[in-house]
Amino acid sequence: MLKNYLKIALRNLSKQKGYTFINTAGLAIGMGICLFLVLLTQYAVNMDKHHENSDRIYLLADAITQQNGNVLDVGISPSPWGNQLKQEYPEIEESVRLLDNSGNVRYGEKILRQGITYVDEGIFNVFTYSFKYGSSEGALSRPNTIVLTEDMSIRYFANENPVGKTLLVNDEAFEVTGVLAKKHPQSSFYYNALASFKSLDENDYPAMNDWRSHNLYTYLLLQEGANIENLQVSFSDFIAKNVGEEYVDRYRPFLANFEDLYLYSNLYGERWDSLDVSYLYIFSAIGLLILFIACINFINLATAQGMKRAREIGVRKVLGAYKKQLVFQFIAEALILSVLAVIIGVVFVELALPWFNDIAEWSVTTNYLSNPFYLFSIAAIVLLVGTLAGAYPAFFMSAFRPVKVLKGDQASESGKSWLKTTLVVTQFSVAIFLIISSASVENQLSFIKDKDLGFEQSDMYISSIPGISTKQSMETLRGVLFKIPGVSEVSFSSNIPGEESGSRTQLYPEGDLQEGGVLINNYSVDPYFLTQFEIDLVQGRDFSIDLASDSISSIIINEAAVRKFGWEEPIGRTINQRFEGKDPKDYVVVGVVKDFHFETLHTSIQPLILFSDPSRYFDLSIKLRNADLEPLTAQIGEVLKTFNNGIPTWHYFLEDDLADEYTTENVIAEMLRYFTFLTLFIACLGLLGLVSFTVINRKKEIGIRKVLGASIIGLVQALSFNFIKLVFIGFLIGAPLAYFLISEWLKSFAYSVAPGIPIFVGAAIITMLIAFLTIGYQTVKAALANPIESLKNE
Amino acid sequence: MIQAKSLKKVYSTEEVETTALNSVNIEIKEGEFVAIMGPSGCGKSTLLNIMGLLDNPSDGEYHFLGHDVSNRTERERAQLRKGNIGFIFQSFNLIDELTVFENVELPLLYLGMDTAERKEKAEAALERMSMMHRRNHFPQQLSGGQQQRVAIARAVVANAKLILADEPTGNLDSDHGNEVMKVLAELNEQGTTIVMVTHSPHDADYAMRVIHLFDGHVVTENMQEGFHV
Repeated sequence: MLKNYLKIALRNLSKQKGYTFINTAGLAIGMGICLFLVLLTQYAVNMDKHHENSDRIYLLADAITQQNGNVLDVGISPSPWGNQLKQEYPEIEESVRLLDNSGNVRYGEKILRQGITYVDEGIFNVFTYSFKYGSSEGALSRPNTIVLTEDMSIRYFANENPVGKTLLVNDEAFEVTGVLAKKHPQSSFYYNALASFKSLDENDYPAMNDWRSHNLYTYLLLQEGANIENLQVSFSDFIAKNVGEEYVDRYRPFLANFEDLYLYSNLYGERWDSLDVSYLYIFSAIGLLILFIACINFINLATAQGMKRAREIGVRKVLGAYKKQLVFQFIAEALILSVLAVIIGVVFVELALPWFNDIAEWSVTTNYLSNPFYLFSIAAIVLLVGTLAGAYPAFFMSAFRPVKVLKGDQASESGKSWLKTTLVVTQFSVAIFLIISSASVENQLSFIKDKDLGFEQSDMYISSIPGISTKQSMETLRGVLFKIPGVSEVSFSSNIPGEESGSRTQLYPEGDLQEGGVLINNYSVDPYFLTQFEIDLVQGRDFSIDLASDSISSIIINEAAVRKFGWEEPIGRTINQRFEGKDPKDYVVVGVVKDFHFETLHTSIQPLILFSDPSRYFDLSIKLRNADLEPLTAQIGEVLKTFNNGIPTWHYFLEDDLADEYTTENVIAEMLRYFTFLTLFIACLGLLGLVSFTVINRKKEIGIRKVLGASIIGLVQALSFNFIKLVFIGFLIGAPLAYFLISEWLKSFAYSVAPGIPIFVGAAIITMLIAFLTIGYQTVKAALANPIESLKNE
Repeated sequence: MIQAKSLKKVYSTEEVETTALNSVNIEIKEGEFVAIMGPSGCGKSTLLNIMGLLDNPSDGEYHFLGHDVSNRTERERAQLRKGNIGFIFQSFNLIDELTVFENVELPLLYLGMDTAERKEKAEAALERMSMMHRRNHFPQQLSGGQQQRVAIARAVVANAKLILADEPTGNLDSDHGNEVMKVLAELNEQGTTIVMVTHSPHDADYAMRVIHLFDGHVVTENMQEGFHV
């Protein structure tokens, strides 16, 4: 019997090619999108879970009550906390600190500026890393030992095993004790090299023994079954005992589960990649909606198709088929179609993944064998879609009365009209929703691109300062660079505006904040920096090359800092920097700059302090003018190479790099673009199918109308009007939804532009036009047909 | 085999009630060949549908093979119909997507027979209708007469005791029509009871008995000359 069903299903499918195409294509797209999202979600949810103890690893975070009463959740903590916690609480098995730094790293003739993370030796007990060379055993237990990542190892040693060799980090010798294997793709954070924390002393790291300066990351490994709640409650005792009674209300440390950081964290100072979990929800919802409309397409077409199958159903019933058997037959057919669709859908996924991995910088793969959940999803989607979409037509068709259908009468109705209405309205609501959302996202992204960030970004060549540079050698370099025609400005700084927040230091400005101090972003820039980046000075003066004291005790602050500190007259005010056990140091404000967007547009402009400390200059910015960029870039590269022992330095153009700051947003825009296109495609397929069935159904009516003198235009209008009306209702549902969701999304930006009327009107026009074109051909054809043909009895 | 007493069938829509059959009494014995005649709309097809258990009467009694089946559910009727009643239609009603063999085999599938037995029976039926050479063709590749022979093969394949034919020659030219009538007569000779609705007096001549319907009533019952019950 099953063979019989299969046979008849396949013959029907190959006979009704148009119908099969519409249904399979629609379902395949819907299923493909859903499976694609299953993989993405799975990837995101499993981020960092390859670490064996990931469920027991916690980041020590702190809710700091600031002077103004606001509470700031930070992901950083003071250096001594972790180890003390471990000693006091037996449920804390291990505690490791991560302190990011950078330095000039030299091996033989090769000198490069490298990021280095200082970590406690317990790091390999907490996180799971495999080693390419060496082993985790005691790798960082001695001072001046360093474990390299594979990338860094290759940079210095090519494919040689570097274990036992010595690297000079800022002229200090470090023994390479291991090389980590390639980074696991699902890691939300990364290092370049891990150096032993024991290598640091108070000169390198003044805040080492400061109990109040939040400046590094502490990860704790808890015992199995440790009670997190109790532990967090007891932290107030810990603060009272170790930091001071008066700090109990100020610092409320808490534990953030390592596994949750990627999707759920919203902490100040995140050093890890993160993804707002709501993106997953939104895209899953869109995926399900697309699948849903593909299913309604299927239901409608199959039901309409039922008219053609009426005779078969009648015959089967006369020959003794039970209703149940017919229902089973049609569901089996739906399942077959569903299998066909999922095969195509899976191919779609395979094609889409490389594209997605490329733009999102993920590495999602489909390991069918090692990913039972994906296989299960494929099976589930087939069964779900097959049975759910197959059920309605199955019950509808199996209820045909053989007495009627065998008389040669066509089954009188082709499904309930509410179903058709729902179909068209839902499809176009979703399509319009996506068009508007997608256009609004693009709108916001171009707004970001065009937004005046408050500093110059075009033709800005950025590189690292080559070699070990002293103030002297930097001046020499500047002189050489200026000899190149086309170079108009050169400056050195610790950071480049627009990309990095700079480092954060606890500082104590004069006034209300003097007591508790405040965590402030800061840059170090040379006296040419503000001019080159065209950052306006609103008060006071710029740093001066002639005043040696500027690099030691002068600072420039931004307007946001002036507001934060509550200063009426900022020039001449002082800001104090102090670490426990060290002499405090005062800095005098010599100038105020206009606020500029030194961070991304997700955040509003925060207070910023500019120092002028040459020992912190890492970046070199060169402003180019007009000339042909390519030869000029090559020429600069050659010069920098000579300053870097013949090793080429990296470089990029600021404008390009700023665009990359919005990867997530770009990925979303790109995905929305495709989803919109596919949804429109499915919606049009559905509309096309429906219109052709309607036209068939109304062939006789059209014939009679024509005989009675109806005009062709009148007929096309009569046939199209209903559909266009439904598309319009779709607009009324989709547009407000899109507006609501986009407004929510825009809240993630401190600076945004609301979608304007043109987007809504445009979406309406585009959809109507596409719908009309879809309907047009069929209706015109029907209206032009010779009425004799349609009125003749079969 | 068939006893109908005071059969009544009323079709009602919201505004109109149409009486298709009114107090019809009929008895058909095993082995008979009965023709039902009458003008369009007289209730012939309605009567045939009720006899074939495709429909329930609105009132009256209907006994088939000794069972009172006047008010059975669709499922029960299907159960009784399977293997007992074969149908032949004016428009053949073969399933276009199935081959000749598969069409003939279909009733056996619903009877739950195994493959070997189905093959044997379907081939025997096709052989009987001289259609074996066409077993792998699809209905549209056959002439009308051939299609009807396949339909007859399908009606007899499960050894139905009763064959109901609704204008079996209506869509055929006279040569093919005669051919089909001969086949039906042969079947009747071999013991199958046949009830046939027809417009054609020529076809009715093959029957032993002719029942005339008019406006839902049986008006006359004629025993054909040369036939004896």
